[in-house]
Amino acid sequence: MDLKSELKKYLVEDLHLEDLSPEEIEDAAPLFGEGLGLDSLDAVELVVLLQKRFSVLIKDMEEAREAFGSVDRLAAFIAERRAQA
Amino acid sequence: MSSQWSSRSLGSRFQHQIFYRLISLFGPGPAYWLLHPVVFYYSLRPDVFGRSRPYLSRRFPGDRRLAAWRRAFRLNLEFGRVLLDRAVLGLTGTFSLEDPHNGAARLRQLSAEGRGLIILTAHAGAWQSGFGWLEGLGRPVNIVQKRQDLDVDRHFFEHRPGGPAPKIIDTARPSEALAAMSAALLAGELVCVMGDRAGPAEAFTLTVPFLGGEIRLPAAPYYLAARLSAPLAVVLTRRLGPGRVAGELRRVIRPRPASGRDLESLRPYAQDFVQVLNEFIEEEPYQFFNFYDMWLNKEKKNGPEERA
Repeated sequence: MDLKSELKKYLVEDLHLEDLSPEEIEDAAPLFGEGLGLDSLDAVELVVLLQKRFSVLIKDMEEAREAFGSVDRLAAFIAERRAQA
Repeated sequence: MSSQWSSRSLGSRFQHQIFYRLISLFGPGPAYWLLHPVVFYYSLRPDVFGRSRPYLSRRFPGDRRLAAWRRAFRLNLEFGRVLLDRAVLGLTGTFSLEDPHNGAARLRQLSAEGRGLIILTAHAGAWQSGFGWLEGLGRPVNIVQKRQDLDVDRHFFEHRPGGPAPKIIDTARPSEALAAMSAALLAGELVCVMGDRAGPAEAFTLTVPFLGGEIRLPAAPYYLAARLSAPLAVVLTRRLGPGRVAGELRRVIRPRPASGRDLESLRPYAQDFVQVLNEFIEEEPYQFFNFYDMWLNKEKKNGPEERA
């Protein structure tokens, strides 16, 4: 399974997106607001997901802004962090 | 009467500079003296008088006009002193932070649990100078706040040349703010949150009784504590005199670990926090600084509220 598919699977499971399947999540769609419709409490779950599933920790607000833009950007962020490790 | 909270200062940048210059050139004494006529002038303005009425009329019901004005003056003066203390701390480093109940040692213990530590405080006492207390705990400090573009007032660490500064987490973008708060806690850092104000962008709030009415408090601190098993320390600071502040760890709250988003289960913890506020304003009625109407109208009383 590639990183984006893995990420989508965990998004559905860990954020309890019961009315969505991983395949329905678009790579470029915004995660918050329009798009996937996540809210601020989901941001907490997203940070926990990154740490638990990928051993990656968001450093600050700027990183969150960059990484949480879409599945594309989140996957790129994880890949970049893994490469640095 | 102003019902909207604003972080904007009453005075202009120029007026603030006068105080800063006085402190730099002559020490704090003249600045504290100048504060009296300045506060007197501002307290005569109906808009300024009105800002403290929502709180003071509940704390001291039945006051006549003159008594009400005197209380407003006293509250405004105390607030001015707190702001000056902060500037004095930043500009001269002159400051005495007392720890009568050995709260810092307990905070270090809580922090050493390795789950991060949420410091829940309020716009009461010398809270801004109290941030300096947190720097001595040996962990990175994050301060959660909403700042407005035209806010000319400065924190003590912004007066200070060089030196480590706490990280500011701006609540203007709630999702990013909560992500940053979560990340800081997971990294074992301190996250300091003002628990007595739910900002306009606050999506999740808890409605609790306070001084005969109901107020909205941010749910995020309790949610984070429950979700990440982080201890939550209620810390208030009490101004004792010029440049003298007591830091007080008033309560440690440990919300039960949770995996869902059952906000209703968090309400008792918010009520614990309000109980601490009640105790504080009983002891120090002129050190509670919420200059806006924080109480809900009857039609808005439903909670917990969600405005995602």
